[in-house]
Amino acid sequence: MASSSSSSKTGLKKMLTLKSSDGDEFELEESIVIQCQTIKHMVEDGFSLIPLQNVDTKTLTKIIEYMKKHAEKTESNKEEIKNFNKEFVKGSFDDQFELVSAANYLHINGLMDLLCQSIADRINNKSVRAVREIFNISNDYTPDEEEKVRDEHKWAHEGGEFDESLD
Amino acid sequence: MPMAQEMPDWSELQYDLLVLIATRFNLIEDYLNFGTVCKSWHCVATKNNFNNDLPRAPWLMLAEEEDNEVENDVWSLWVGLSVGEDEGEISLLHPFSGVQIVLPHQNTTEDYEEHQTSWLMSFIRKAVLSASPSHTSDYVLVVIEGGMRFLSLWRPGDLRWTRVMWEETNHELLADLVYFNGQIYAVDYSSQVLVCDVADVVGPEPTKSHIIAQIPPEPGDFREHLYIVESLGFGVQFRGIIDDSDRIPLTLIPEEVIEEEIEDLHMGRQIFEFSRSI
Repeated sequence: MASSSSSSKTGLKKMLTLKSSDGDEFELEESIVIQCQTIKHMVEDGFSLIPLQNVDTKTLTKIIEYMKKHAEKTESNKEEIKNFNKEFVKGSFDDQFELVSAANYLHINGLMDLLCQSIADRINNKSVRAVREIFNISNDYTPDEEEKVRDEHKWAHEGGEFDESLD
Repeated sequence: MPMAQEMPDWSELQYDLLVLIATRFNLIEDYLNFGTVCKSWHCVATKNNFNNDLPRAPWLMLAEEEDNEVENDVWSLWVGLSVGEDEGEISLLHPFSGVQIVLPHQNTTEDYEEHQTSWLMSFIRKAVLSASPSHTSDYVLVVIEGGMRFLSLWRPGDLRWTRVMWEETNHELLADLVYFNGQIYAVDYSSQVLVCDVADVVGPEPTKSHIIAQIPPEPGDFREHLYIVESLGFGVQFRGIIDDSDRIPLTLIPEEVIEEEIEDLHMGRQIFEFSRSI
């Protein structure tokens, strides 16, 4: 088999195919895809068709958009990448659950950082009740348990008002 | 394609991802709220996961004397949201009142790109204030920055950081610093204690600095933690601490050394106490 180094010497771009859990296939240059550690390891093992059973088409499309943009990263377009990142996390918040899980599965560290920060930012300064609403989490404490948890850190909440809104 | 997606239940997010999110809170209130949301999030919000691996400068403690009473005040250096690889905006934050003083971005330091640190290490390693911003606008903030290689300072109204340029001094990475009586004292990892005058830094000329002490290294003695501390209103102390359990007792370096240094510097009644652990 031709190694990846010989193909780059001849100027040919090695292509890889990613297959989503819905069966859709995406053909991409190897140089873009190897940002993802999981795939990089598979490429090193000689795979060129990569089935991703845990990633659906919608999520994979977003991830490819991220990897394509970040593959263009140079010294001079830092600002552009930064703005791209800002826009990237602005989309539907529900999608971020699938995205962050997929980024974790695929080991795309930059994307994981970006998403975890974005999720933490949604929680910052919000009341517990607002966070439960935003994240669709039902309160699984009994009233007694919840009071106990809150009592543990009463000291931190003196004088502080949290945001109850859901934006 | 799946049908219209159901709203995900975020309490079911994988444990390791919850840990990554948990480590990103700047304020303890937000962290504690995070842990109160549901049982699975509560499991993640342990003591150890707070502020664990985020780049962050330590808190600044100030002891101020006012009407003969020593009052403690705390300001913290707050590194804001970072999207992508750059560190976010920084500000001085008074955690109890929520007052924030916005500081110039790290990229206003000289050759920022060149000295930018990796994400595991904060650009600003350590910071001290000369006085509490709660009580006066006449103060300086001095920081160790740029991968621990430089000292920079900022005064209210400055649009950028001013780096201390040392003249004829080679020093190793800086471990700690204190501000005392208009002077900045810093200790580097080769146990040299450096001093410079804040008034000098403000002028256009490179700052004159002196190495005022060198603690002789001992074979096999690697000092992982070096501290320089102020003895309230009295002078500065330098401590090499090999690990926490060795904090006490401290032994003094022979007195001749101390006296000599004091004379050189015309420090009058100020005492340099150079001590290290056994």
